[in-house]
Amino acid sequence: MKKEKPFYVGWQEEMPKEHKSTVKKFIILIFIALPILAFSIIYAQRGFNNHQFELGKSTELTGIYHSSPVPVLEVLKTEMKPDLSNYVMLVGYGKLGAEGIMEDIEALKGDLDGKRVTLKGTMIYGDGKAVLELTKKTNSLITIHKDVIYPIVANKILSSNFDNVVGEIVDPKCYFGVMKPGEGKIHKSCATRCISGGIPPVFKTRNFQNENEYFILLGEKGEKINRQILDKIAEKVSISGRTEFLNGWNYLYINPETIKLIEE
Amino acid sequence: MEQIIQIAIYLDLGYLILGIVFSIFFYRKGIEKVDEVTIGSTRGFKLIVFPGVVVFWPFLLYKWMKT
Amino acid sequence: MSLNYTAVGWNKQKKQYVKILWLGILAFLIVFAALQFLLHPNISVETLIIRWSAITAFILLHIILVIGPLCRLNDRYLPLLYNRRHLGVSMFLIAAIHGVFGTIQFHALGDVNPIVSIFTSNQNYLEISNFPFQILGFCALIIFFLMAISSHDFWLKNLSPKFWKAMHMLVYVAYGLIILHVATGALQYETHLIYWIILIAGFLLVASLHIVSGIKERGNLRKTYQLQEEGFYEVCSLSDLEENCGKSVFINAENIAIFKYNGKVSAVNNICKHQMGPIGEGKIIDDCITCPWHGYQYMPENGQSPPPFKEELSTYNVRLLKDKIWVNPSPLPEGTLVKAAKIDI
Repeated sequence: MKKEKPFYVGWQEEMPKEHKSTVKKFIILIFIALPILAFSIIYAQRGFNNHQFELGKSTELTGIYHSSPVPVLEVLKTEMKPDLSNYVMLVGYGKLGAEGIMEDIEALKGDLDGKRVTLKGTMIYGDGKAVLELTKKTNSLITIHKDVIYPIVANKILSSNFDNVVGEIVDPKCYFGVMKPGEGKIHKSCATRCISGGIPPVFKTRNFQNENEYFILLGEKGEKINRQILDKIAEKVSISGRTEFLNGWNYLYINPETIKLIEE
Repeated sequence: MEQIIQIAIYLDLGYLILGIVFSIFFYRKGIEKVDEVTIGSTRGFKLIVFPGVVVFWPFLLYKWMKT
Repeated sequence: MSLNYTAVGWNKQKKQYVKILWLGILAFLIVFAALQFLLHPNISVETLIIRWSAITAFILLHIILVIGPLCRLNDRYLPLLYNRRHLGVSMFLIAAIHGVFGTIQFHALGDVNPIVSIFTSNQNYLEISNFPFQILGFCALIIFFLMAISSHDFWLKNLSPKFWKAMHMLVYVAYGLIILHVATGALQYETHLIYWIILIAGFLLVASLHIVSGIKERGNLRKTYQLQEEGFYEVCSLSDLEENCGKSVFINAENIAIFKYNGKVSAVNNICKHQMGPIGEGKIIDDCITCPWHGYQYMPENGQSPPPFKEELSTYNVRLLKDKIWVNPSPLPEGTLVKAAKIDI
């Protein structure tokens, strides 16, 4: 009698050995291919910067609160790591700016501008810049120190002009540590959300030494332009305007309508 | 745009809440009328088809009405 | 095809299938995480999870899509098909990790609802490289969700096999969406050529297997049969059929399965009531025609599933003239008893 063709029935306990060997080969092939695939995918990645977000770790910083142009806490240089700026930008929890929180605190405790305060939050830092997330919202204020009022505009320097400089608008919270990558297409929606939520937009560009330079973007009269630039975020753009250095950060005053998208 | 999507989300949520309400009655009475094979079926089965009952409830309601 | 439903109809094969599947998924997670931390120690855990789940679901989707055509080309792959729904549900769960994590990471805790943000945070609908790729992934995930929640046989029966099958064919739409999601999303940031090679190679693999198996199937359907007399067509010789085995023939748009068994020949409709499997490629087991896909059974003379099951196939009149098999392609009502043609020895 002719040998019967092996037939597979799924609800039986065992499969014919012919089927078993084919399926085994298929599985072995996949198990060989997967590590190779994983290696090629991971090897070819652009890589990640060493910026940090100390998620779950709370830090208390004491310094002078500057409410404008954007909320910044000026901390003693000796309190910060040597490679970090002592002008710590303040941002809110999630994808929101710090302004709402600070306004709520001031509504309860009075004007804080120029006063020495201790704030609690989560540190974000990278590439020399430091940001503090006011994780506990209005409970972020620990102490208002009762001492002299310090001058706010101590370290303003001369302004210079900026003509068609190419770079990318990022949100500093994600870029300086919360997300990796915190720039580019994948992160575009998040950056849009953050800037829409009040986190100051930062223009990232490269100087002649091929180092990154960061500029907080404001309107020509120093007003917020977060809403006007939402469709220019995480794209290659060229920007013109007037720069100023104030409270440890570069500012760039621009007319948002003059931002040009650069086609690649 | 934002409003349209917001409305769509509320409509979907409403639809799913109706599905959950429907599932209460369906598990009590309807399921055995719609498909008699479910008589004596396990709890695991009822759990595993639950998301489907919440989503596909108009189909089941139609079948139930026809019986 | 069960007496009453259980959550999962476990048997030894199915347990093994699920065990190997999840061992593979876990092993891939370990290898992936180890390589990431080795080559890119600065990666964040969130990014690791988002990328691992994306790539794992993407690979599983390819495996799912090649199983169908592989089985049509070679029935030795059938054990992979039988429990494919477990692959599908697992793929959905991992894709959902990717979707939920991505939504929380990039859209939550902001000034609008995260779902609204998915649709509004980037509105460059008319550009290719700037296209809001998240929406494509979101739609694909909805399709996978509908497929996953309807994977139990209860749904096949109660949504009607036709609707169920149509809904599950949306996997090809979802696959297209995923290809575009990757091309307009990750590959706009990670620009190494290897990613395009992998994406296109995967697509070509899936597409070519479907085309090759489609050509093979069409070859079977193309064969034309000559009308002889009284509505009967001559289809083949007795010697073309092996004992207890079937043959599929396509006459006047009727898809018919002919079986030879116990010195008899019968014909039933070739489309299984369960998932439209090819009955004619099945076999007679315990006096019943058994579908090769999921083992649904029918009695050859009346097309009825053995009690207590209730599925019924159409039957056809069969005649034998010398050693030639003749079939009348007008279907009789489902479950109609037709006396088998006896083979004279």
